[in-house]
Amino acid sequence: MPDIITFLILLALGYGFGQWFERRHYRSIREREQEFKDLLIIQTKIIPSSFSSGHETFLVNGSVVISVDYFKRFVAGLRNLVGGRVTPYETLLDRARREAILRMKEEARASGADVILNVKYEMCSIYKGRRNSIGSVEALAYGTAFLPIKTTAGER
Amino acid sequence: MDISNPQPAEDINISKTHPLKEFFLLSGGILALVAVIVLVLSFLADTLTQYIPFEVERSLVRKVDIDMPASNTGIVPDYLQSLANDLSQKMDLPEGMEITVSVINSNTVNAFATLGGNVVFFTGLLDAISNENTLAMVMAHEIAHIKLRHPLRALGRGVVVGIAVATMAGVAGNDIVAKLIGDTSLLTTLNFSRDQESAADKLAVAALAKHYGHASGSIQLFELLNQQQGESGDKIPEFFTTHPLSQNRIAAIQKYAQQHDWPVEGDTNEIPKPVRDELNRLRMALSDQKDKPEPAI
Repeated sequence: MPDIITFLILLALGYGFGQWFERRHYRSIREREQEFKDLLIIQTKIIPSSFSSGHETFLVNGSVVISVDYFKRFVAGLRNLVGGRVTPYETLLDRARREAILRMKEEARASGADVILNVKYEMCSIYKGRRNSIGSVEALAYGTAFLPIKTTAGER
Repeated sequence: MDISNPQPAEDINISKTHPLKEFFLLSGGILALVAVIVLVLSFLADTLTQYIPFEVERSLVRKVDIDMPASNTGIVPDYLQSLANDLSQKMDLPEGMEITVSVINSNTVNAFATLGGNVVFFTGLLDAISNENTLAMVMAHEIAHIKLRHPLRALGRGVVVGIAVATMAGVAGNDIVAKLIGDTSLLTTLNFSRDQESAADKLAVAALAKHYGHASGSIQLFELLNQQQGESGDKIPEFFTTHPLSQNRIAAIQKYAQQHDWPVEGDTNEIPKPVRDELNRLRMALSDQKDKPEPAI
């Protein structure tokens, strides 16, 4: 009996806090994505001709670590038995990727860059608990920022 | 070159399923599945193990394996053994089934039947019981467990369900889910345990009526147990217990006795004085032991 009560309390706390943080995080992500909209990120390795001269380049990266809550971990554990989409983890990874990009953009903007080329992602689980119950993930985004040396204004 | 980064649409990388819907669907479905698997396996194990001959069971477990010193000889065990023998005759035990009574000197208010026809009494229960009829109810109840092969069937169920639960928990690979599966199977198997208790109660009342001509003591026993449980304080819902609630057992016994026209009241026999004296002596010895200071090392 006390076991069940403790379990339900943990589950409720996990759900309550987890959902609250997630909603808050998504709101902040959407706001900042709008804010950094004009800082372009491009996957290409080939430097477009318009950037080939008159730019300084440097490495920028953004990384974030997000932990899973008790509720998500429990639902994912149940999912392991029957298979299918692990929907509770989808939002977790989505948030991590978008946050990493935003932090990278933030670093680039601080230096005055207006485009980041060759952007790549790395994801890893940084904590594998008992019996491989993954606790948290790290997302790392990195790329080459192009800082224009402005000689001809408005030209790209 | 005209390049822009439009905001991608939301909900491409994330499912629209509400987390709570996911939770209730998954947990409900899996718990129901575990309960069904455990029920089917328990039923099969329960049905099949009773065909193991009693001699085989007896040859495997000749003596009670318990951490406390249990005695088979002396005034108290001899008295209980003769009571067991009298009741066994009234209960039509199958050929070759023998009851062996042991006594453990402890304040625990309990008695139990276990493998190999062994019945174990704690002196705490004997002290709490006021007359022979009530004692005979306990004895007949434990003998009924043995007659119905309950200890063996419980063992069979335990082994089969244990393996199934360990396998399912292993597949889940998650401590929380594994624990939940374990708890679900436990609550499911408790149902079998409560059914066994009710079945043993019925046989015990019948034996009492046959031996004494009335079933006095049967209800007294559960009133006594109810009182003991009340002292320990907590009221647990029946769903979470191995035994039915005392008041439900009393009601069931009254109904069963009425159906067969057995009076539940009648003249009771005293527990013989030498047995009482010996029990008092044992109790004193127990409290003396407790008062002794721990030897300093």
